[in-house]
Amino acid sequence: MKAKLRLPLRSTIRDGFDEGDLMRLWRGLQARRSRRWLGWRLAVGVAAASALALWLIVPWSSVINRTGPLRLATGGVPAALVAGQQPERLVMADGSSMIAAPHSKVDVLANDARVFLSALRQGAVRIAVQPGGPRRWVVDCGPVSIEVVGTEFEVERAANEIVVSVMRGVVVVRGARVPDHVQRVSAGQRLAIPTAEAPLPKVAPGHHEPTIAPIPSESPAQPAPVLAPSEPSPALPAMRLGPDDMIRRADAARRAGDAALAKRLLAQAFEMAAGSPSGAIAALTLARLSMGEDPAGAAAVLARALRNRVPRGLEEDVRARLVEAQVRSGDKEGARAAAREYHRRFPQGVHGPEVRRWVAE
Amino acid sequence: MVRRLGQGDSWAEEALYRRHFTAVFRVALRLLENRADAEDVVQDVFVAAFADIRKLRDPAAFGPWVLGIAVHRAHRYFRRQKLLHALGLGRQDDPVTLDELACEDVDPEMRGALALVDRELRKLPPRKRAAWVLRRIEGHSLAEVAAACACSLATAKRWIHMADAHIAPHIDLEVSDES
Repeated sequence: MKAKLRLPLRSTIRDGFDEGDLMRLWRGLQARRSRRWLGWRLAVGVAAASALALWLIVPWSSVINRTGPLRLATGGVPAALVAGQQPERLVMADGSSMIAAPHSKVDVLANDARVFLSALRQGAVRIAVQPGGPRRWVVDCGPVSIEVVGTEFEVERAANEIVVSVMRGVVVVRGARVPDHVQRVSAGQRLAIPTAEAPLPKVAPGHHEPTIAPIPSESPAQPAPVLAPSEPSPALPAMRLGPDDMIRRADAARRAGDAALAKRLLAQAFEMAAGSPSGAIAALTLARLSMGEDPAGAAAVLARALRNRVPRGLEEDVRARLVEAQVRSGDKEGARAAAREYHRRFPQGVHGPEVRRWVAE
Repeated sequence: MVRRLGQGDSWAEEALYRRHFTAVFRVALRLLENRADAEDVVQDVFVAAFADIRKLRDPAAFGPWVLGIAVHRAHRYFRRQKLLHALGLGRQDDPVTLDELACEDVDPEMRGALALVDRELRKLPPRKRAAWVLRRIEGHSLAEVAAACACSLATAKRWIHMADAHIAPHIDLEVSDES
């Protein structure tokens, strides 16, 4: 007997890459484009005349050297920002600043003419970047990275989530758990990204109390001031996640190998959208993921989806999977009843042979 | 977003890259069956797409357009690798097959079927193979397949049917949507 395959095969084949691969290739792509651009300019210079080419090349490389790393206002090159019991501050030569909240740590990973890359290891940091500078500022925060051009924002790394709040300008936040893997957060907005261990937060608009309050301007000779308790800032609208966003994030989590997070996201999507096509898709996908370890749980989800009404186009799949789940969990009576219902509603159904086979086993 | 890319918005660049990366990578990997080659092609594709973005008249067609670049580049790569192999200089890596990329919950019977599909696909000429991969694996519409393969709708249909006929003696193919 020939093997059988249902087309298209897309849903049975993994993508074969993860967020790390995607970012690695992005960086490689950027490097190729820089080389291409620079190579074109050099080729033009060399073609003009050898003496002229030499005159073009030498100042070109010295321009790159002169721009160099971003220095501190007091001289020197920043390496890290570590705050003990009191906040700590770094002020750069271009007027940009970083303020670390108490018990926070920021490492500077790269600092050159094109990029200032830092990593928030723990706690919270507020960063104010002078607009119009030559560098991209990137803050790496574990599973999330934040990129800014000219802005003021705060990022906090808590046990269960990473929170990005923007006071001025725009930041770009990237990560496998970020909706669509990349989001733009503007002034007055706040984005909370749960970490792998955390359930999804209930996102709602409300007061945002910054971890670090604004610091009054000071002269360089004075020590860093003690920060006053934060004043509540105007309510910042939080970014809402709909069921389709959660289903997409669940897909990403599943591809990244985090089945537990995928299941939590799908369960949440189902709660939000039971009775709709999205809810049915969430239930079906959750049941599929749970079928091996928890077929009784899978059966419960599918039964609930059917009680909440499943769109006609998905009902056949849901009913067939319910039979499978009930057989696997040992509920033979339930499986036979579900199979009878399936055959009654879908006498020519595509899953008919499988349903008969499951019940007969 | 495509318009903003044409105006030099680097955020739009990355957003477009992320949005279309999956489709491009999957097609490259399926056509080349080699991860390193697929990664090279993906980078080539986006470098070319961003360089030529102003040639794209209809911003809504970015997806099919970039897929077309991917198919074209993959074919070029494939021809180059074939030549290198003929000269004894090609890479000796094992191919990345469909059954290796199957999702965890795919049963052994289905994995076997995927391995069969892979074996039969390799016997097809590159263009028919590309059309079948785009349609029967990735689920793109016929119009998208025709655009990516730079052929007419009728030709794309014919290639897909010929590939179906080649594979059908070995595997029962149930097509869920012929639109």
